[in-house]
Amino acid sequence: MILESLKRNHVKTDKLWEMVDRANQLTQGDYDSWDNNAPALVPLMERILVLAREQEDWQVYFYDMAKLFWYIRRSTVNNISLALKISEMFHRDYEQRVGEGVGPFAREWRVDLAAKILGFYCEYPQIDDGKIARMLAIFRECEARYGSDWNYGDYTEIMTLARLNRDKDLAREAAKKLEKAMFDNYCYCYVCTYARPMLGYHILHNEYEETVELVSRVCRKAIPAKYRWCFEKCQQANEEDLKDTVLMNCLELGKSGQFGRFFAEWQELYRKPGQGEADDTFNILFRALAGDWSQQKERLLLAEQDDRERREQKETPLDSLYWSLCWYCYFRMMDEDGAGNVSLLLGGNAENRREYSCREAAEYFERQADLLGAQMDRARERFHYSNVKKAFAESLQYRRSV
Amino acid sequence: MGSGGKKAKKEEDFSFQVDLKGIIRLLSENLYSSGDVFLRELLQNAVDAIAARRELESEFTDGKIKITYHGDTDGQANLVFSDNGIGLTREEIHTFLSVIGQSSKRGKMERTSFIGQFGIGLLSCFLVTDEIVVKSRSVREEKGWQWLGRSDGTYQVMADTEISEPGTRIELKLGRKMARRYPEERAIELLKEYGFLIKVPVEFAGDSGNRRINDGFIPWRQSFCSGEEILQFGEMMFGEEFFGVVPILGEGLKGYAFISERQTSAATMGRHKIYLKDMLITEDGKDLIPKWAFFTRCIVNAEHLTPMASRERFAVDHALAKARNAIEKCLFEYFVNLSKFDVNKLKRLTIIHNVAIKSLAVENEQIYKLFFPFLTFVTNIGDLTGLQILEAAKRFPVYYCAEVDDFRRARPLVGNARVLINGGYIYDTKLLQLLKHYFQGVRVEMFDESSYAELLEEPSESRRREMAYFLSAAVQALDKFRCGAMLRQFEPAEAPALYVASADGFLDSAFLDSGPSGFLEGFEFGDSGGYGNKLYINAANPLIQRLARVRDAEMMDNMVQIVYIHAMLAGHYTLSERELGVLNHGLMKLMEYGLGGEI
Repeated sequence: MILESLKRNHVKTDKLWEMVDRANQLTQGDYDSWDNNAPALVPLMERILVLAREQEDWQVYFYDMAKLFWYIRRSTVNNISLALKISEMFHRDYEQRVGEGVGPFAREWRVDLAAKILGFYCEYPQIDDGKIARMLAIFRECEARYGSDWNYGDYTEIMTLARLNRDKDLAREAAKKLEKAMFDNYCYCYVCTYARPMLGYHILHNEYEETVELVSRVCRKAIPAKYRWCFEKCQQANEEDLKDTVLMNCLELGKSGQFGRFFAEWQELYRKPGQGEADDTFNILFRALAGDWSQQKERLLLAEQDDRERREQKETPLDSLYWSLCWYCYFRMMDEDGAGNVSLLLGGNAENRREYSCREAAEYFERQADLLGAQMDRARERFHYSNVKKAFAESLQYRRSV
Repeated sequence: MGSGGKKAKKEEDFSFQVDLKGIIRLLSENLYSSGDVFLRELLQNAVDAIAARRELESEFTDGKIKITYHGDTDGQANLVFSDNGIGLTREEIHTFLSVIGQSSKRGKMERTSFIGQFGIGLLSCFLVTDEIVVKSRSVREEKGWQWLGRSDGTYQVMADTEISEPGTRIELKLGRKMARRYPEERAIELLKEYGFLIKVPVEFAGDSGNRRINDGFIPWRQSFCSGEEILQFGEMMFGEEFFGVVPILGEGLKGYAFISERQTSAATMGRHKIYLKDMLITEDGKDLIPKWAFFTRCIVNAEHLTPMASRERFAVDHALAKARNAIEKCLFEYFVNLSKFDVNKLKRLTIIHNVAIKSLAVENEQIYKLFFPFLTFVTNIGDLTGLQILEAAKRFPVYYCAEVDDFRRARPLVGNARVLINGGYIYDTKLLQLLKHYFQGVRVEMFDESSYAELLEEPSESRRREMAYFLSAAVQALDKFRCGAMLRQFEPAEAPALYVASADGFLDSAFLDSGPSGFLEGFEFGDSGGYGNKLYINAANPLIQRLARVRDAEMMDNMVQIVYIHAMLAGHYTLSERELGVLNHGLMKLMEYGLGGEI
């Protein structure tokens, strides 16, 4: 349940409690049902924010805000405009309400929010190094003021920043905190709050064996017993998602050599024709590299969707950048294979649907990626788009000949 | 301690030292929730003694209990309980009356015949007196005995020549304080309450005269009894009129659940009368009566339950669960039958207990499915029953507003074209959300701010072209309020605009209240400014059509702001200081325009 830490005695009024209770009822099932309930849940949690603020119930306010922010950032909900607004609310209220809403349930949600907002900002070229440094300082200030061991799991977001800036020292600091959180049982989910960020850490540090060992440990379910529930609940706790994470990290960090090494070992996994929904752009690239060209119709629809969402700003620029590079590689492979034209709706309204040669499609996505990459380079000194693009392009040399 | 080596010395056994007076006080004062129970314990002892004699002498049928109460001139009172039951031998007096934890009902006799099992019932008399006199003659002996027990833990046993017939007589002297607490009328009242169902006649002789305690009419003991008589019985027992009655019948269970005509809350306690082998145990039905049946008042006599030591509650065991299930089944079947054979009655019942039943239905699927069709909901086309909503939702989408204010705003726009339910009343939204979980093929959707866009019609292309300048001016004029503007056409045409606040509107205010944080510089939020709050301008409204022809930018700006404020007021929104300022300024401007020229 999304607001499960709240009990009746934590909430000031019946009206607010009724809404909290309703939000919890909407999230009693698995995460798929949470996602399905988004149309009712998001407005409800917004209303809780409004009412909690009116009633000066700061504990409910910050808790709901943190959970709402996390929820709308889930890929299935992904409400970016709302996330931006919530980040502004945070800036308005976190400092003015020092000491308020530091409640009986131990976790301090302001630290959590600051970390999540920082992670969110990382994905926007509008947020430059200066703003990132400011937000990192806010996180550290919140942590010093409100944080405790409880909040070490929030270093998942710090690891994201460290990866983006290729900052090994920051990554080491984050890794230490995440290790501690994991041992002290403060990680919410072993896979999401420990294994996935640590995979990024190992790849940043070129630690091949450690990466393989961690992936294997999770795949064998050889993780501390207290976290084994993850395998029942977490949508990422499966072999393919973990291996996707590793390969993705390699490309994002511009480490094509590492990518080749892992891919050579794991490509069998990607060779089976795709099953289920073709809804993960990176996974489609890995599958195509391994020689799986099934679900072509669905994949082209996803390419259109990624393009549309980039234009409509429904995805973050960083995600759009990586996905554009994925499609650039994908259509290049098709072009190399001599595939004919593809019908795609790119760059505008319905009238723009037309036949593209695969080379044209690849060039279109390359242009979009380059635009975003240039923006990221301007904003972030250590992003190095050219390295990222090079790693994507070089991934093609590891493709399996069909 | 080490165990090796030889034993140096013979081990000694020691006994606990017992402070008898303290134990007696502890038991008598802490075991029971109130002093009243001494009357029940004495009644119970008498009933059990008569039952024991009946087991021994099958021809013995005229058991009776007599209670006398006489006040002294000095404010004290003498209370005497007599029965012609099995009585006690000298040996039994020592064993049963003088050993705490021992009871004559344990062992030889069939245990299930009695509810007194702990040998401590008599101790409850120390709650009201310091001295208990028991005079008893056993059916097995010719001679009677007297036992005098004191609250300091000492007792005496002596021969008694007064008692000539088998039976027991317990004499209590109530001091002034206790005589005031238990005057004759109170004693009668309590005895009637506890002993109402006892089959053995209980006679009371007091200063106010003689009377029978338990000559009440018990419907389930009659060979025939009409529904009317049972309802009268319920009225007599609980002092209120009832809407209906559900017979409770199960293994070792008899009784009735009376359905209250008054609105009640699920939290109401102490409404029932639960008897064990004819003796009142508790008025709290929480262990036995299902929580959802809070609108009933039950009188139940159980045979197979196990009392706790205080005899004020039941042990939580298989028998209790079985009895609870049996009662639940009786109640449930009754409602199911009503839904089949007397729908009007069930409907009346749900009208009386609408909110309470709703509170249960959100928690319990069975209750939901049973009662939902009869619950009532406020809608745009009048009050509808759940059944009507269910039927409608099978044919087309039915909408609900989660808040009363949302309903008020949306209602005039929706007209009668679709069903819009006011889900703002307690439990209604939850119930409506559950509808599609419990019934197949129904469409129930929340009416929120995004529903307006679908509900309000787009104006024609030519009208949109005509009003394009006006719309762009309106977008600009409202930007400072973090409100988007959209052109639509809707009924009633007299309404110039409709303001719909989104919860995001509050979030938008984050930008206004404290100035931007600086983090969002460089972000773009699209055409509507990304604002959740929207002003839907009614292209069908004649005033708006005239306003669209205005070309004076300042006047246009003022007018749009007034339209905005008017729409907020019409929608019952609260105006902020900024908006009040705009209203004042706008009114002044209007006056100026009025005095200076025409729009």
